[in-house]
Amino acid sequence: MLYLYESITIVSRFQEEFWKVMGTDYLPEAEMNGQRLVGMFMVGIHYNENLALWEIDDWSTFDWLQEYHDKDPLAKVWQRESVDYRSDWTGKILEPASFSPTLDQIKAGDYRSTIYLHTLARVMPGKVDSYVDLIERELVPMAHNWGMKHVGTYKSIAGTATSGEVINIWTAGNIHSEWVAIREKSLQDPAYKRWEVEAGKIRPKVIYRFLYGLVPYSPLRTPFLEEETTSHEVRTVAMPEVEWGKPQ
Amino acid sequence: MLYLHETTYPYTGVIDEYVDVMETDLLPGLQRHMTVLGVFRIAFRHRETFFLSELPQGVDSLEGLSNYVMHERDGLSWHREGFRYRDEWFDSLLEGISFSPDAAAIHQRKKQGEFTGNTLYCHCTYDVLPGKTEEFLLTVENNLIPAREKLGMKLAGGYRWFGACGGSGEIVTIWAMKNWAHWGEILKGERDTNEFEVWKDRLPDLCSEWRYKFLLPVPYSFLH
Repeated sequence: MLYLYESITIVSRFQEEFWKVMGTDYLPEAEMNGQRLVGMFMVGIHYNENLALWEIDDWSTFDWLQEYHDKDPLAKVWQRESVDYRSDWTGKILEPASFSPTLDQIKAGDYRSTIYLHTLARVMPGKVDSYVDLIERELVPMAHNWGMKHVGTYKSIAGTATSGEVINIWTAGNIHSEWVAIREKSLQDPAYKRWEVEAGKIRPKVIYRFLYGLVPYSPLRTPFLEEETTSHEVRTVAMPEVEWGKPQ
Repeated sequence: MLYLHETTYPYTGVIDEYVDVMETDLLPGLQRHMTVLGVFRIAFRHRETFFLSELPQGVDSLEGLSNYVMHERDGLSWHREGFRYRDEWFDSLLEGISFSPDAAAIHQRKKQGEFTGNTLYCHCTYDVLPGKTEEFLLTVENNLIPAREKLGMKLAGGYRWFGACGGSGEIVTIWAMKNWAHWGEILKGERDTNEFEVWKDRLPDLCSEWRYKFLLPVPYSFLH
């Protein structure tokens, strides 16, 4: 399994409209072509950045997708339409660690969260596999004890990227109480202090972001947003001006 | 031999039109002064292109290029036209490394089926540690190139900084491969290649990091 990771620069005043047209005008075609949405997020707190994570079966699907984007009239229509909503985007291809859940497992499990913690670690040359092993053996059980669930660990292996990139995504609850408790537990955990010393020897830098799960059709999203098919009036959690799922 | 590497950022939504007008309105004039080797879009990014040219007369070719954009009618016209499509670009002037094929060699090898029929190129910039450049280049030549060529990749170019935009210790390589499925096979195959194991073991002592992007040749690109 492979993942496509797209960092999207949004025209910020049209963000919610972009989510909506992406859901109707791009997502169905993308999924038919083997590009399955895992998560569509607002990056917190950076108001003109979104992140889309897609699951792809294999490398040959990327060749098929390239062909589709270059030649299919519907893909061209989407490219023209989306110009109004996004000014730039870059993509990486990610390889999941063996202990990362697949999309099917995410859908079947309880991975709903209002915020997700996204970390991008820059690991020293030649140490990526050791770092990923450390994550599995030490960080995943630790984070579980603090109340976080492991959503995925991925290595960048193509697209536009830098050597030694390892991306982690975790559920992080809500900002009001759950994240405060998670952070407090982590800071008091002696195992985490040891982890920081050990992991710091092979990855000097980690960049943190929150990801807000506010898109109703995204499998990774806040528990307060129901499936669009089962709800017609979900307006309170995301952006009130967008009438998600309301019958047209 | 000297090379010009140009990265351009077309406005959102016009990249297809931009690469079309480059073919008709830029390349014919430019070819009077330089050998255009490749025109590429960047994979998963719809507002970045990469342009690779060989300067047959070295720095004297740059003089011709300046004349083209400042005095020759088609060059002046392109200079104005280009602003409709892009407002930012930067250039690096690079020197080909001894093992890098020049335009004539690429032309010859195309006749044998190389550098043709590929839909994907990998552009990688290594930040080599101070004082390690010669050692790094030897390892590229003796380990990386044989390992990758065994797996069907072809080195289209290897370069070091000569002038204009660049950073200390930067070495740029450009590799041809068939498609994404081929890249998947290469990643898998590298694990079983002795030369690649040696390369991987040496890398942490020679490089602080490397950055890569994947290039999609446009239909009229000489390298494809």
